Amino acid sequence: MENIIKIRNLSKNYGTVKALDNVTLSVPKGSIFGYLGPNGAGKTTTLKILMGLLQYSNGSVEIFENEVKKNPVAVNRRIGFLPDAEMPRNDSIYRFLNLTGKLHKIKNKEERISEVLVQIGLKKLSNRKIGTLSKGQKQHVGIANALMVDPQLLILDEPNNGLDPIARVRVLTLLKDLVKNGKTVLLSSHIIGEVDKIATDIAIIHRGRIVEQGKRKNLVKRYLNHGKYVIAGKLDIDQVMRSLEYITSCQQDHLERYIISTTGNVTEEQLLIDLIQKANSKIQYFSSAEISLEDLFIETINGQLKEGDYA
Amino acid sequence: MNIPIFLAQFKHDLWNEKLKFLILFLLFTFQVLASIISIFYLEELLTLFSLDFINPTPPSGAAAFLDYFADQFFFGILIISLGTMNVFASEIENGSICFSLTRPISRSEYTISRLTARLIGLILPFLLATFVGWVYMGLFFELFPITTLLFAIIPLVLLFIYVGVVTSVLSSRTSSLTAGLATIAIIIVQFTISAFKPIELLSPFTLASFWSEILSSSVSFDLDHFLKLVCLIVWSTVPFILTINSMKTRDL
Repeated sequence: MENIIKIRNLSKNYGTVKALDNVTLSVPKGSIFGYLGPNGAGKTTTLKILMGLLQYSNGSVEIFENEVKKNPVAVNRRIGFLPDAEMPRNDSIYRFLNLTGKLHKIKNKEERISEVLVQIGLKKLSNRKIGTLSKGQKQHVGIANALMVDPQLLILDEPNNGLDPIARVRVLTLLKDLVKNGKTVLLSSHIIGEVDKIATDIAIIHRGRIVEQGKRKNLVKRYLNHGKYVIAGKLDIDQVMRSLEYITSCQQDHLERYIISTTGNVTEEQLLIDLIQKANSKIQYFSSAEISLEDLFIETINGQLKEGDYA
Repeated sequence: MNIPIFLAQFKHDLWNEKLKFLILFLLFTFQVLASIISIFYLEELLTLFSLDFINPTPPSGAAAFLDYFADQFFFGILIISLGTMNVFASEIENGSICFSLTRPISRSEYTISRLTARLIGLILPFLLATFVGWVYMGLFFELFPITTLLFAIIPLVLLFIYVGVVTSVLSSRTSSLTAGLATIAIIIVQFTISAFKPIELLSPFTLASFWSEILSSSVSFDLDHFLKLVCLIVWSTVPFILTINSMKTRDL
């Protein structure tokens, strides 16, 4: 499949801090690409480099076969971008979108503004100053701005920030529809559940390095031979963890149930139950749970962390 | 430079300056009218209150404008410095520049547009207020020669441009407040240095001191004035190029 974005060996330093370390990434055409990572992992830095807002120390970044460094304006012409940043407070929504329309030389600018405002549900507020809008409404204006160009590629940095649940669903549906119409979406987020609902491709970045990358279904499949179990009862966690090496993590949820993750060696659940009970524990309830993208994310990030570290 | 793109951005930026424009126009108009009235009526007014005062400057159009321009040497420069200290800094600080620069506009086009719009928004009210003062003088006192007035305005406008551009170059690299304070510090240092004869010509402030000569002796632009004018243009151009270059390469 053709890749719309190709990043090779990209590095970016802020003084002595390595924000991106040898990042290699490809975004296939027609995909919804979820770019995941904890706070400060390097997601925004990558997106800003893609948009020509940051210079980079090493590597190459190509969008639509154009090197971003050489001609950022030509690249920007074909991209709709939503940065995770403040919006100009003194512009009205209409003026803000109108300038985008003018600079993109959009024909039938007025119609397009009207269309995106209806699409995003802000038609009635078009003359309101952006500074007077709520955080969620501002985020909508940002999305409308990104959609103005009818872009082939949409890059969104934390698009669901500040949105209520209904608006979130609306935005996710909108993104799915765009991809159906042949567009490509790259979205960064640390809210895994939402990306899980729509992403076709995933990359996980941690401390400036790509730690997982690929088709969502393949990545999750790789983890399907891992196990995730919900257990209620009286467990001697320390002993269970000590005696069963293939248990990778054990956490308690808000109902005081134990959520146990295992590596791929457990084929029979009864065997696991017996082994746990041998480890000075009493099980009252046991069931297996579905592996989600969130599990994959937590597992991947935890695998990268040393004891006492925080992401 | 892509002219239609530049003009679209420039129109947008200029419109954003409208409130500042109005406030400055009222401020400058008040200053010019106050200068004219005080020059022509100050002595009479003070006599009314039985205060013994002899106006050192005989009432004339030249004296009125000289007074007004001398005020601008302090207030005008301060206003320009304050008015341009956030031309880039605030947008960079709050990140809204990310929206502006991810539209298909080059950084140079964007920088020139912002800077020009801001400077026009600050200098045009001054020019308009001066014109209002000139009309007012013609209506009530004496019409001052407009060509002389224009020649006297040139160094002041160039000085405003210089100060504005210096603040902007700093504003593209640091916070608004630091940019404003650093500009004032630079102005003080340069103004102090300009007192020394050998480097007087190199100072951007020396030409401004000639407006009194121009105003009192009508238009007479000799070679010395011309050299100083060139010097001031160079002083304005260098930081202008630095601003554009600084914005071109900086991380946002």
